[in-house]
Amino acid sequence: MRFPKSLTAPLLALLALSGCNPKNDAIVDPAFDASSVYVINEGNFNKANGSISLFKTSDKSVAADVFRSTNGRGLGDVVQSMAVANKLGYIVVNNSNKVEVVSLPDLKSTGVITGLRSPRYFLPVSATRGYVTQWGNFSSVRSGIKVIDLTTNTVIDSIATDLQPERLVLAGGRVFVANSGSNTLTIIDPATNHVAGTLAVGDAPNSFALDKNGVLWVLCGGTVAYTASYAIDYAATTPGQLVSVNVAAATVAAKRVFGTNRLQPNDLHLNAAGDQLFFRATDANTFTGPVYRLGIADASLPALTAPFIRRALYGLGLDPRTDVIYGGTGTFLGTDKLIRYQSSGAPLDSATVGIGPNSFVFR
Amino acid sequence: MLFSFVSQALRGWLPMLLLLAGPVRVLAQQPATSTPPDSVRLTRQRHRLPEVQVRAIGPEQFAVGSQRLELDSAVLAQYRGFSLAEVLQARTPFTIKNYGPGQLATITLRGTAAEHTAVLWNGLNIQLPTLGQTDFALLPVGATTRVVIQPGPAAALYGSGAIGGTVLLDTRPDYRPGLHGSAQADAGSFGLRGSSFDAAGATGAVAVHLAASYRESLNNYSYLSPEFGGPVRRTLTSAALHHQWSVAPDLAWRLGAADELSAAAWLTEADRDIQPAAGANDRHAREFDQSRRFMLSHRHITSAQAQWTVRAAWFDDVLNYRDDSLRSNSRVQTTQAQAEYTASLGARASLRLGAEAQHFRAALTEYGAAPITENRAAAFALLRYNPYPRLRLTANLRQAALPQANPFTPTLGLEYDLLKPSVDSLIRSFAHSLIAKVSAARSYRAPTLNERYWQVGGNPNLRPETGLGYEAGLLHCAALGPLWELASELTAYQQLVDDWVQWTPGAGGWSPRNLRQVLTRGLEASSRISWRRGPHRLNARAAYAYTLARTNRATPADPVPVGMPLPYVPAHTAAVGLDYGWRGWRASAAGTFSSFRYTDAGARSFLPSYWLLGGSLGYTLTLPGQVRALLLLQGSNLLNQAYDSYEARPAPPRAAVLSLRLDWR
Repeated sequence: MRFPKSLTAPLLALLALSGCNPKNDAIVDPAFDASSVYVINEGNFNKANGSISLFKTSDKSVAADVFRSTNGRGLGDVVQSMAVANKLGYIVVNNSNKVEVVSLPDLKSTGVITGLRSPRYFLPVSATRGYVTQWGNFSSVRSGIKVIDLTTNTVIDSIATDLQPERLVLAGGRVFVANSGSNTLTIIDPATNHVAGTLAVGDAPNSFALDKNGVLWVLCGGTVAYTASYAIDYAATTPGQLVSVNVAAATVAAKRVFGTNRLQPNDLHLNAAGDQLFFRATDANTFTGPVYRLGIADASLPALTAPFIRRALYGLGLDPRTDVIYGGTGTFLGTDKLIRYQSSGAPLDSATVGIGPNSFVFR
Repeated sequence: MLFSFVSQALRGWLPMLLLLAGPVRVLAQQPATSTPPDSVRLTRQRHRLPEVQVRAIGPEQFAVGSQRLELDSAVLAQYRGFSLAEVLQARTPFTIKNYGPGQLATITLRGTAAEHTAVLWNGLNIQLPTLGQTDFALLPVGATTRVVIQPGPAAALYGSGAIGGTVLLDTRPDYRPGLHGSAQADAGSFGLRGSSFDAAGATGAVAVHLAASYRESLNNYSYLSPEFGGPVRRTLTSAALHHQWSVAPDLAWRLGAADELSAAAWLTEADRDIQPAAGANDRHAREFDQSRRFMLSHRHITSAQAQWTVRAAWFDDVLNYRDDSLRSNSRVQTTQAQAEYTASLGARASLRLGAEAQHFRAALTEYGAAPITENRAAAFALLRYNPYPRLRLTANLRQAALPQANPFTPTLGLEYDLLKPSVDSLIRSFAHSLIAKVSAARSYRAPTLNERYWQVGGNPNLRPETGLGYEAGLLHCAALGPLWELASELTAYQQLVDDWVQWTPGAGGWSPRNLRQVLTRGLEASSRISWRRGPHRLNARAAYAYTLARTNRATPADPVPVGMPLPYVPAHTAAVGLDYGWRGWRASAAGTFSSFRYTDAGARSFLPSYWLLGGSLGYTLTLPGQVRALLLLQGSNLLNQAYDSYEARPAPPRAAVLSLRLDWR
């Protein structure tokens, strides 16, 4: 049987298509500059598709999944946070139980810290030591802090905390840890890795800001209670609080309770001048919520019904040089955006980034 | 007569060709003047062929203009012990989204979602009412005697969910007197162990059949994990199929010449790990699925031109999930009834009128303390009319009554014989037939119980999704000399699905919303050729599908922009296969291809394309006492491709299964 010529073109087309995958559109500019912002994209839970996008304020370009394009592999499952120490990036990959260590600005992999269980946040406490908070697994591995030797990228010690330690901050030579599964801060002497004390704040402390006067602000989300069918039980959910802490005395200076328990305040940030606090108050179902602003001298808390930025955001950040506000959407569909706002709260622009942008790292 | 031969031979051909058998058989049995309606033909045949006296008239008689693909008992026998997901992956170009071997597997027909393929067992929808999906890994093939896939919208015939297509699973009574049975044992790579059993007996008035199967697998295969310092070979854990069994008894009983009673049950159970993403925390997720399905049916011939069928069914589906921090139990009971009346209208038309009602009662951890109930009903009218011998038409319609809305879904279909073998050609050994097919259909999907009642986020105001689709195709059959037969089909289609549902975050949390209109468009081409000479039997098949699915219109609340391709819909898929038999030997090779698939709605990341090759070698030995023994070795992923069928779920490497089957009679 003669091969019909009319079939040649479609068959060749099919052959050509068979090897054709879309080109990865992340082209990393080797000349990272001061305008680079790393967007931490958490990714979908249990799909190992967390990533870091590089946004450049100079030309508003976005390079997607820079870690993958640099290293030929993905970051892992649930990229929770990134911190910078010694010109290296420490990327905490929560559900992959690791911290990826990368050189900056190119995110080239230089090491990995393993031996962790559900790690959350990283804090450098000296040139050679870092702390990682981790939630453990609620059974055999307890909540606490893993002490990392930054020269070998290994876990060298553990410090017990209360449940679900989240962000941690160095203030007055001591490390304050927000235990979001309880109502306490654990205070640690980083020279000895010993717990110096525990301070009761409000329910579910989650984040800190150290203002221009050296006052430590602690944002507490309030404890979210659930019914037997995993719905939110607002009758038993406590409202959030904003607590100020006298760092030297390690005492609570003031506590203020938010007017509603329907939103959980979270993700506290400070402007460059150190006199204005920004945070989100999130819905317990979507973990997204509007942005609020509060002066450190303000007498009362903002009403959660009157946000500074109305849009429900999953991630929040402030550019320390410009006070431009960075927000990340939380659709988790692969169409999430970075939305930028002027310090007045007016929208500036937006750009498509990875899945679930939860925070921003500025260079 | 040559066309009888063609028809017979076609019936023996492998799946994709079988869809051709319908029209060709019509040609073969047609008198020169007109085609009598089926019920008339059946009653005429009664005197000659008593075994078909109360034969059912399948809904496919009213699916004129649609494409059909059939996996008959001969094909299914090769895959006994396997799940429907594995058979469809091996034999068809349809996309199965699979988390891993034995793990959650859903189908994508014509670019639509898993909820958009209706799955009917003996005419009754068995999609899980809570999820609105069917996990094809939970359906062992041995339990049914016939699997038909009808791509394209066909809600008038099959009801809710028949947007992308329909999968029909049937158990058909075999009244041939006598007893026969078979038993099979399987052992394979990665701890696969299985067995199956099949026995049937009939007296001519009563037919009894029992199919049972068991399977377990460790799935502890190795894969390369890209990590710091280079790829590391790791072993998959927490992916075991702890057990899976299926028992399917059925009974058919003729009460005189005009009545047939039948009863069927299908019990399935599976207990499996739900594998975590590669390298992610193991939360020890485990799922227990149990389904009990019972069906009673009565068919009554009222006259030479008419028959009644009534069916009642009760399903009980359990899906219990647990992991380190979550426990979610669900149980849904579905009670349903159907009645239909089929009559011939003169010599050229037949009409079916029917109605059905469903009652759901669901208890789910996430629905709250009290069980919820929901009722759905529908009435339908199906008309087939053959105005000329060359022209066949259908007009079908269904009016559904749902709690949220009452979708009305008509279908129009047409088939025309462009080329029909003339009487002259019958004396030559070379004959062609060419049929043009056209159809247009509306379709719908009722919101699932989860979409309506899930706490938090269940949206009781969700509208049903509705589709409007068109397709046109050409079907060519040829007998190329006495030994060769060729059949090819080409279909183009387009469908718009409105009110497409997506769970998105918004005011009030994550909730399903009617967000967008989706356009699917594509081409399907398939060809089969068979050759038979003396003890040699050869069949070759090739199928290709081009699928485009993208958002066409978005509501303001939709976070997905217009023009985005749908995730997990590869643009190009293909399946090729070759089966060869010689005396007791059989050998086969099958290749499947999938182009890259985006894994998110924003078309940001994708899984690369892959080719897979499978093959089998078997030998049948005839033993004394009417016993035949078949030893079959089947291999999958022979080229040991490393690929992910689902994001972060490494698919199995090269694997083999050895089966021994004993057939009695």
